[in-house]
Amino acid sequence: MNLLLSSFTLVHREITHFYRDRARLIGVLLQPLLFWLLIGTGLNASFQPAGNENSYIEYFFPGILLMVIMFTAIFSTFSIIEDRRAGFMQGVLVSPAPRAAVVLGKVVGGALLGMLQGSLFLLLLLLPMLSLSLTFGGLLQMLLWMLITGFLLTTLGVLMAWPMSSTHGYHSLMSVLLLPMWIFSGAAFPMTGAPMWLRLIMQINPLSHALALMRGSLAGHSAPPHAAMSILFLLVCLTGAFIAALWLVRRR
Amino acid sequence: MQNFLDIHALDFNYGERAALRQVSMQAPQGAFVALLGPNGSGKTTLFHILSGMRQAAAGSADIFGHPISRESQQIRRKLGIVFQSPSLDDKLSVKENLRHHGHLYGLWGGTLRQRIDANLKRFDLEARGRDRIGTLSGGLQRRVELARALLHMPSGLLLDEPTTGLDPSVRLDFWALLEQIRREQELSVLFTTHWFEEAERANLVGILDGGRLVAFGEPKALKSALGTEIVTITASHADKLAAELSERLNLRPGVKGNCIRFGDERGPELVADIMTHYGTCIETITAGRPTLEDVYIHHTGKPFAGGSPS
Repeated sequence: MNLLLSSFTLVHREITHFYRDRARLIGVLLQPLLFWLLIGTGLNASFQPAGNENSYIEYFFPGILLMVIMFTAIFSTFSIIEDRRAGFMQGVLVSPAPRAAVVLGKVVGGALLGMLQGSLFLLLLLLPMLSLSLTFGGLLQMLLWMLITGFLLTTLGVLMAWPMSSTHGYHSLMSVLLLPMWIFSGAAFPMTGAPMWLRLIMQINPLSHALALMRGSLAGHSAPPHAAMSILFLLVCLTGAFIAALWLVRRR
Repeated sequence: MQNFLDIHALDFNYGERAALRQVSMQAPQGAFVALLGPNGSGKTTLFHILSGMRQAAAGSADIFGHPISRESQQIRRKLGIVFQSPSLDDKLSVKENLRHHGHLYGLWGGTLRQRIDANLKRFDLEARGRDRIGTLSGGLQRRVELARALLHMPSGLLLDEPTTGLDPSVRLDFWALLEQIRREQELSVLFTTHWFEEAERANLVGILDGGRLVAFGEPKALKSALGTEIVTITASHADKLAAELSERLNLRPGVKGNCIRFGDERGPELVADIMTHYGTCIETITAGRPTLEDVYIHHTGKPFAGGSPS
């Protein structure tokens, strides 16, 4: 009961913050949009993804969706660092609320916001020049994959932010861990043409599996080859990361 | 009845550096305790241990009879905590902050709404309930912090330098409000401060120096232990003068730099006496009732680095 009530209140706070902070919404949506348009259009003429009938800008679309979810997770967990030393989190940590609520509040909040912003991005599919589209079933699948991916990325964000004493440290961890995970997920180039060692890295990267599932739920993309395995792998990674985050937050 | 605080031989280290050494103190329920000391004396560390943010390296501490090492959950429900740095979310309104806080303490629905309304009224914040924290003055924000800490009706309140950064008049209002609530609710209160004037308000004062509790007791008792009058002399050759005073007048002065201090019941008469004999080599001489500052200097042998709020 206490866990549910305190988790709920922390999720509620995340969401209130989000809609009161317009700059954040713009930051999370505008940068991926620019990336998509600039890189997508730039490479569109010269790059034809192997084993894929879509144009590059269409190929790149799910990758950008993944970026939106990743940025949301980063924004949500960024606040942990300062909130804990001088802010709202001080009061949470001395309250009787279980520490699990701290993790759950962040993770559920970050995942819901990621899904919401991803959904806004999906509106771009209405553009007539894109041959991509979503069936109703595809949309439901897509929402689910976005949610699970949001859970995973926010949990990873908590794991990285919690031990940090400054936001600088988090910045550098982010650029050596999360960004490469995004690049080597198949977001920017497909796995098929990559050398063996790189394919191996991409195989064990949970974001590759998240991306394959998201790509698969878009009509006009081929279904992922091992969907069930991908879901299982994602859930295993998520559970592992969540347990690690719980352990970390309980410890200090 | 269980004591508010039962602390025995508490130790805490930051790496190699000992922040608390063998700190012990008892305070009954309803006590109003001040932890006085300059920055780095260990008072905030002790506050952190009592509020459950850090674990002591050795020793024990019980709050309302619950050992903090094992029954932290019971303690958390019975304590309200006001931090030195703001713990309110400035993007949210006063009511929203209180609502989140209530949820964290297991309050919800109608009960929570009633508590919030009652607390807003009590702290004279009714008109500001919907305002964002960021739009409130520093004094009002502190009042909301207090309303937040008392929302779950704790039996004890811990405050870490609660008036830091407030204007003198706002600071007086804050203490008056706290005093009123303390009496109405029979709250046990502990606060940390580096101001003697604030510590004077408490009915038990603990003086911390370099992680040790060098004095603990009622302010009156601590002061009267020094004698009825304290004579303070500044002189350029303090050492020489002190030697003469102890030899001729049978006094036991303490010397620090160019400052001489001692307690003596004769006070003003003695001052006049000293002036007639040694007036030429004295810069200033005063006699007065001992203050907590004198108590601090007496126990630590050094002038206080904290100072006065004005």
